[in-house]
Amino acid sequence: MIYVFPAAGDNMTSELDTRFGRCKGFVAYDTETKKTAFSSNSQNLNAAQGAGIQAAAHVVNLDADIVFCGHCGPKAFKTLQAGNVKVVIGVSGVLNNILSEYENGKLEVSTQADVEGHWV
Amino acid sequence: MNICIASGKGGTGKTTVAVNLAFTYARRNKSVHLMDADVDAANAHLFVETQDRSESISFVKKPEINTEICTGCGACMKNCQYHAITVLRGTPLVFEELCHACGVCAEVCPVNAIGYKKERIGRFFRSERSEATPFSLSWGELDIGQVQAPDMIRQLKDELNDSYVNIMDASPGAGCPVRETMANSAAVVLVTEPTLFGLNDLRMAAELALKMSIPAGIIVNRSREDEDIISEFSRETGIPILGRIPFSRDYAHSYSKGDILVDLYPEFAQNCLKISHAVDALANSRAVAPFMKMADNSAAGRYKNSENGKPQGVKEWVVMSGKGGTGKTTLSASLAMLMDNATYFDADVDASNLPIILKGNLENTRGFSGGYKAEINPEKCIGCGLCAEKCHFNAIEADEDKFKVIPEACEGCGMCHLVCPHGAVSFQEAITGYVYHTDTEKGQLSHAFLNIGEENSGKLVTQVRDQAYVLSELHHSEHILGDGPPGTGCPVIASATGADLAIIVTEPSLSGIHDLIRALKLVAHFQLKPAVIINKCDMNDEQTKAIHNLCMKDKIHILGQIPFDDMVNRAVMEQRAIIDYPNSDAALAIRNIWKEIRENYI
Repeated sequence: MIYVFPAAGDNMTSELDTRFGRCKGFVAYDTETKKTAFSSNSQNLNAAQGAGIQAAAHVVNLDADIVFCGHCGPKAFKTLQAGNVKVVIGVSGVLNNILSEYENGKLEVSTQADVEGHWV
Repeated sequence: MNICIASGKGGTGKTTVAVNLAFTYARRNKSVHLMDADVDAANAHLFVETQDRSESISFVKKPEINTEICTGCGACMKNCQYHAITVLRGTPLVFEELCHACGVCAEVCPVNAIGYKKERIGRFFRSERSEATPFSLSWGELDIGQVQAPDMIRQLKDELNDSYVNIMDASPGAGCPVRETMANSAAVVLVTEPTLFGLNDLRMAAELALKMSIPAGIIVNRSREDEDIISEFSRETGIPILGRIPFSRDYAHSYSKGDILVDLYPEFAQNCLKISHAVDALANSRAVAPFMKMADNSAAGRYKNSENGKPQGVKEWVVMSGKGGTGKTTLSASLAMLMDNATYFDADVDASNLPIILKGNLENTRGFSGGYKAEINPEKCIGCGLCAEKCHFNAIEADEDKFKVIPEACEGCGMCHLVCPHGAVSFQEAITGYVYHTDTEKGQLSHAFLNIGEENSGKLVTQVRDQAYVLSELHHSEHILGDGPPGTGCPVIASATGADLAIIVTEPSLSGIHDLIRALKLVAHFQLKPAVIINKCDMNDEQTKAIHNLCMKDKIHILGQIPFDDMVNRAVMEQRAIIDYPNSDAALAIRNIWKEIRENYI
């Protein structure tokens, strides 16, 4: 399984970036190989519109199974769902801690977006 | 003959003038049609008895992708300037709210997999001529959350009969809906109030009319004898004053009940008759005043969005209204004087007025790009006209034997650039406005200027708020107070989503209540917490009571009410907040409101 985290840094000791569409980048963690990879989200940082959608499309193209977010807006959520990526909302902190909370069954997959869309 | 009634500033009396002029022209035995183009908050129909009312749905065409033919190539996604299409693992996904119905995706699809389906955006209404109402009337209401006002306005205009006198009542502001309304008018009648706010916004609307080469004239509403700021503006620009309507509490009270002023006041009817003849002369003169140059900040760098959102623990309150001219900025300025540790923003980027009262040093100016603009190089253009044919926005016109883009009408979709067989169209990111940061005595103010006739005020508003968040963090503010725009369209949505409190300022009139209800619907749709303030509460005691009942029924908190106070006008002229005038009734009421806010929302 591949877990993806919007992150402020490039590895599992980094902090989660609670903004999704304009986070610095994504850390992808492979549960089988236990390896991580970082990809930058810089092209969306200054996007005037559609940042959430583009970021979500990027996550789907990383072949993510689950993405862990602080907040996730409705358009990004719709995009992730269309790409069959499960979404966990409302997490924060160091990526390793989030991973262990999930593995200990403390986190739930969300069925809807939690914040109203930022206009475009 | 198409006459557009516009203003820049909300609440100056456009609808009052439009309705009364409609009666006036009809009594001059003309065939008249009144079209209410304020699809966010249509009010004209409240003033007249409607007959044979008919209703229809307003649709726009949205792309529909045939997934059986689609190969997942992503050409549509790459060419969509609005990020309305994304392709995931070979399957396209359309975001209709972002779609501008430009047709580019269908144009570039190599396998013709994209067609169109109709998507509802609102409703149209029409009423026919009758004894009581000697003109036909049409208006539209955008569904809450929809933003395509220009599309609805285009559709309303398609129904106009060229042989009639068509009076089009525009929305406030000087952005794309007003541009759409003004297009192809014989004259633009600018209704203003003789205050600094009125003048500020009048400039914007006037510039728009001049840019579009339409003769413009001014009506000064709520005029007083000693008024001369509008006279000064008229002399400076050569835009004639067509008439003046004196300030009168009687007129105000009658208006609030929805009465027709030309029926009740013979001097008003005479005045309107004179004005209608002045409008005719203006339309026939085809005289356009020389184009006024607004400030040019093209050397400014580009605004970059911050990486963070609203700082933790900061409370954000946004002032909105539905109806224009209810007193949002008057209230915001006074609240700003009463607050400590706060950062402010003015989200009314079409017609920003808060900086007139919250003055200070301009610390920073940065350019805002709302999209792309197309430009045709006349040296390469062969005059085939394919661009004009394909443009969905009527933004390309013939220029002798070649073609040129009308910059204000261009929506930056790239169609012309794509289809031109000679590569004569350049397509580049354009600066469509500016984001400002002013350091005022009470705190930092984030505000902006949207270039005349431009769209994307939603995006610009988002940048203004983003800058306010950055400033509030830097200056350790506890609160953010935002002065919002009128209406219920995209700039209002952008100014209020995610706010902790939506303070709705209303007035006790038919129009005020009608728009309050729409504003409350908007607030509910976006799950914001509302609170209401009734301004000019003594305009009509019955309507004030009605607002109280309405709010009680829906358990909406009324923060307080403010009586009409002449001193407010004086305060604005002196560029000070009314709260600075200790003998003012309005100031006292606002202090009580502030107490109510402190006790409940901090």
